[in-house]
Amino acid sequence: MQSQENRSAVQAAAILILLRMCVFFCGDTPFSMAYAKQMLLTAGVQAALILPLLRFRHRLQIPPRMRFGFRLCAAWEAAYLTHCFGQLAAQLNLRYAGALLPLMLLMLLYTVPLHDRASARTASLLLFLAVSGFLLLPVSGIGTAQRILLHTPAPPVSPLREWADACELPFLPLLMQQQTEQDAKRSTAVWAGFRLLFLPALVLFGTMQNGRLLHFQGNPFFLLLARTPLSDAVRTDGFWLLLACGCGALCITFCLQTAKPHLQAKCRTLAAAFLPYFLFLALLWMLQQAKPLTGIVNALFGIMLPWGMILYRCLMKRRDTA
Amino acid sequence: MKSMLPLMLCMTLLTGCTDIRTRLLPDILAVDPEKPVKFAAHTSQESAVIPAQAESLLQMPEALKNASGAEISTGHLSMLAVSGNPVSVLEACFHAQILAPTCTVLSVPSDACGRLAAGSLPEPKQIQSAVETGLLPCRTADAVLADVWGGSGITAVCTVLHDGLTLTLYAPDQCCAVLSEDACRGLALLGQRCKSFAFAAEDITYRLQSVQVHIKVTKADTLQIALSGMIRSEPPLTDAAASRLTEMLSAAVYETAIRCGADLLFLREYAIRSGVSEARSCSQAQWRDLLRHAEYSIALHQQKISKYEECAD
Repeated sequence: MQSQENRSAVQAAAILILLRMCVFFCGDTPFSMAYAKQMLLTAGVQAALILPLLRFRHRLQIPPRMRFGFRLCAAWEAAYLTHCFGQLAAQLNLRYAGALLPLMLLMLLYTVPLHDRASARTASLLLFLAVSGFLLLPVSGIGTAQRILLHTPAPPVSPLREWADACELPFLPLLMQQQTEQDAKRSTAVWAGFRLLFLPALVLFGTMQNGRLLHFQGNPFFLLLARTPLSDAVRTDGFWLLLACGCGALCITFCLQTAKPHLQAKCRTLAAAFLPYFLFLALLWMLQQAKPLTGIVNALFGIMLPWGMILYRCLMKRRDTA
Repeated sequence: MKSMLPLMLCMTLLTGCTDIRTRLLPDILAVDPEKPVKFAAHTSQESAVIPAQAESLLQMPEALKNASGAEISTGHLSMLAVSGNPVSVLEACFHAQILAPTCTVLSVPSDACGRLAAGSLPEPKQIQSAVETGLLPCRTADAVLADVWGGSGITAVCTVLHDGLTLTLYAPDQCCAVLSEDACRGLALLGQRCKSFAFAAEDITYRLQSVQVHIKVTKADTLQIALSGMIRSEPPLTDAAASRLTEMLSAAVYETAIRCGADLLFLREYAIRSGVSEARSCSQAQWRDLLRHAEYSIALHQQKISKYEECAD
């Protein structure tokens, strides 16, 4: 983890938001009031634990002994996101999805060695596109949304799932260091606003549209798009699919860029990022039960590790003073 | 940039794009769900009907492709006609994403494929027009399945009977009832998807200009369904006209909820909003029983014209 102050607030916020958005696009949890409540609750807890970290921004440097662990965590997140995209292809019955895998690998081989700033700039561009799309969504769906559907009875949503979906958590402390204090505050506030206000509101809007269609086996977000009247006129689902794939590619690239060590030899650098990535991907593909592990990884590297480091440094300082 | 060139070349080769002009886009699909399953697809490009058959419903795109010699894209279907109970066909097509959620569903007594070939099925525009003029409620694939999966597990589907279009109530395994014309109009009025709504009473035609109906479901000994509405019409409603409108709404509630236990009006959600705890936890069968023993009341009021509108007139 290098502490170079080279990202603007928009770029950092864009990466954080797109990471969460990416998992949201691929999620199969049906939209319901219970889902929105669980999302709000989990995001509230996460924000309460993350926001105070801003005060200790300069103490969040990961010690060299733990950097390897953090790189493994980033590779795990990349594998989890790739697995999610496999699920999205299955949910949408996408043809030729298998042919996309070698293409994606080629693309990653091209994008991962690029400069870190390239992904940050692309992220702000994609975020701008996503915001434009989301502005159109309520306009197109307001006529068909029914408020009473918020009361549709739905099964409870597991909190562990929400933790697993919060893939941006381990990168929050890293991005906090790479910005000026003011920018770090702004980007973290934007992230918190997105998690606490925007996503639950979007789920509630989806509930008012999808309502009783809780047993649909496909993707709930694309079901929502297909049911809004605007989609009939201009086929907006194509735009959203492209955006989802763009977000996915960018976020996997960002995770792998974080996972690669800073070595002289390019091949060794890439191998150090891609080998654990493929191993984790194979594990996730073969062992579906491994998916909830992401929740533990997110909590461990996003919250427990930064707080652990801060507490450890406080204790050491106190001991030295004594 | 040089390294990008082979990547871009691969992308164009692997996109799987075909010439869109050789792809057939059916707008009406008819299904006879006995074994083997028979299909007939009407294509808007050539105005022709392609018959096909397959062992299972999900082989439909392949069967139609073999029969027509062209790739089939079902994303533009505007109507699905099924012989008999369409619920299981609809569920399978919806999960396989063969069907757009906004596709209209039509049930015919028998031989849907033959009727499509003979041109005796109503056109999607005809059903759309019935929805817009308040003769039928909007019953697209998503609305039909939403009532099967949620509510009380009974749904309503547009049906062709000898004297025209009506609604039939279906549970996944049986046909429950055929609704009267009044009940269809009442449901259309409560669904609030119609653009114009006209009805006759005492030889005068009334056109509704604004309708605001509120539903409240509470529980004492039995469920109490209360419908109250503010109506504005041209000419203003007389007692006889209000009573005619009440008859339609009453038929809609009685023939769906009280007679068959069907919940097409989000009664379960209204009950949960009012704090009826059974509505949240009971099974679909239990909710049907609760609805069958429910009591209902309807109160319509004339909406007064505001002073501003009077001045404008």
